[in-house]
Amino acid sequence: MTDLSFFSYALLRFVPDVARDESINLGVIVVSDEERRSDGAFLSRFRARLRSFAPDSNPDAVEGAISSCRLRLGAAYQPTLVEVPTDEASPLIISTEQLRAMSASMRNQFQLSEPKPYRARSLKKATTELFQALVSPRHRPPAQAPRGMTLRQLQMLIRRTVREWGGDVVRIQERGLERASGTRHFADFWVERGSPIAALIAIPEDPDERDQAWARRDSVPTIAAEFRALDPYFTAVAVFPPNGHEPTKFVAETTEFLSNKDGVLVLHADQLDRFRDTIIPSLL
Amino acid sequence: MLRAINHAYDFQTGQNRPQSFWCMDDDDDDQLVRWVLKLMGLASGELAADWIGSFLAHRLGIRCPPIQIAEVSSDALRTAPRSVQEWARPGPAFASCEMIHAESGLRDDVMAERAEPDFLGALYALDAWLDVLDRRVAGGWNALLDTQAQRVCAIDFGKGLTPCVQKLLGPPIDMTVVNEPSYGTAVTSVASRNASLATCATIEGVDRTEIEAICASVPQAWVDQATREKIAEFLLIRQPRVRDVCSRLPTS
Repeated sequence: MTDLSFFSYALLRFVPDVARDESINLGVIVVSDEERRSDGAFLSRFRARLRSFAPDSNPDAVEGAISSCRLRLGAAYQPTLVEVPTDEASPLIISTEQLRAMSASMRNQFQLSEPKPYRARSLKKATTELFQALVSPRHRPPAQAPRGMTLRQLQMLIRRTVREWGGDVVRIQERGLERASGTRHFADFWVERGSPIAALIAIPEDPDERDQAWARRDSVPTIAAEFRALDPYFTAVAVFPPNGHEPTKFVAETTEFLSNKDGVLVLHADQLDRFRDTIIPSLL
Repeated sequence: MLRAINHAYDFQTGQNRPQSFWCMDDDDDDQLVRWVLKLMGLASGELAADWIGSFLAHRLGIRCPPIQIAEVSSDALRTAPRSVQEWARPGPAFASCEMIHAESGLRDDVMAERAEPDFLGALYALDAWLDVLDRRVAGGWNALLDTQAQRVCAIDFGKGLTPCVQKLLGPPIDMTVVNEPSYGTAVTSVASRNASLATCATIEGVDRTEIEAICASVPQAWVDQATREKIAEFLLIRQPRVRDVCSRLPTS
């Protein structure tokens, strides 16, 4: 990691009513004591936020406060600015102490937060990072990969499919535990003919449920092995959401992981009826 | 390795005073991400309990924020408020990825309504195994509701493994006794007994080698070798006894 330098920063806030203590962050001022320089970044489009937040406030006053802060940052920030204040009444902000003094004097509608230390690679980098993190409007995160089906949704889908399967020959038991070799195992659905002949274990694809998916995936070969000791035709079925798109990396890896395990079958939920028509009869 | 860079926020809660820090991962050198750090300087035994508890939660498929051990330098601590600098020490910190959109202080009714029965059943088994004392205190839950996904996540296992990591007054505690977690009637009645028993089966399947490896991953700066061995024995002794407690959950 490149060496990081220390800076100080303060947030410029607009507080429509100090008693309510609600505020909009308008900008950030960053100071380097070492370089005796400052930098800042401010919202350019704040009027819509202001209208919804405090409809009776004066946007021109807000604009004025931002301009005033910009002036205090000096020509380094606004290269074309000619009216750089250099008199003692409003000196350029080039130190944490000045920032602190400015903060102490701003206690009404426009406030400057107490300076805080911040580490970054450069003054400009600190300003950019802080502006993005604390001032700029929150944007939606970049388009995410489509979320997979959640466990609950998948369980419901499987239930809708298998609830018709029960009859004189096989029975469907939902979300239960069955015992094999002294240990009881969980499956979302058990297909039974007196004793279990198959277990259906839902494997969700939702990235937020990846831990559960892994735990469930890891249980499939164990269930197959233990129940095969009792019935050599027993099948443990890992059920993924319907196969409506290219397999995700997780589905591909899991399919590969389970494909060479004895007594394990990998299916998508839309293939369950095929399982009923072709596989179950062969287990009976 | 995850490195703390800048202090972001003091939650001003909890005995271990969790702090939000912008952190950088060595593998992703330009990306600052907010993590909640429990720093050294207060009860370091709780950091070990939190690390092991969260690690096992992931192992058992219980929803829980990603965790890491973060390196906190003295420079990183200098970005924290004075009140934090007074007690915090540089060194390894327990880090869990910050859920920005989250609600804390969940009450029984929210837990019963928003947390899935399977999640509650599984967490019940884990809390029983670790003997987590403060999952629910005065009707308030040590859990977070992800306000975007509307899902409950388990956080904070710091008050688990207490006989191993805390010096307690009074007669020694029988570590073999597994108590029913205090979840209250409303939530206990919703927790899935089947999911709880399935988690027990997974717990029983975690072998000695794995438990010892998890305990060995606890930084030495938090607890000494003897304590880590004691934690491993604590977990192993209780492993087969969790099922008795979970089997007493009402059948939903």
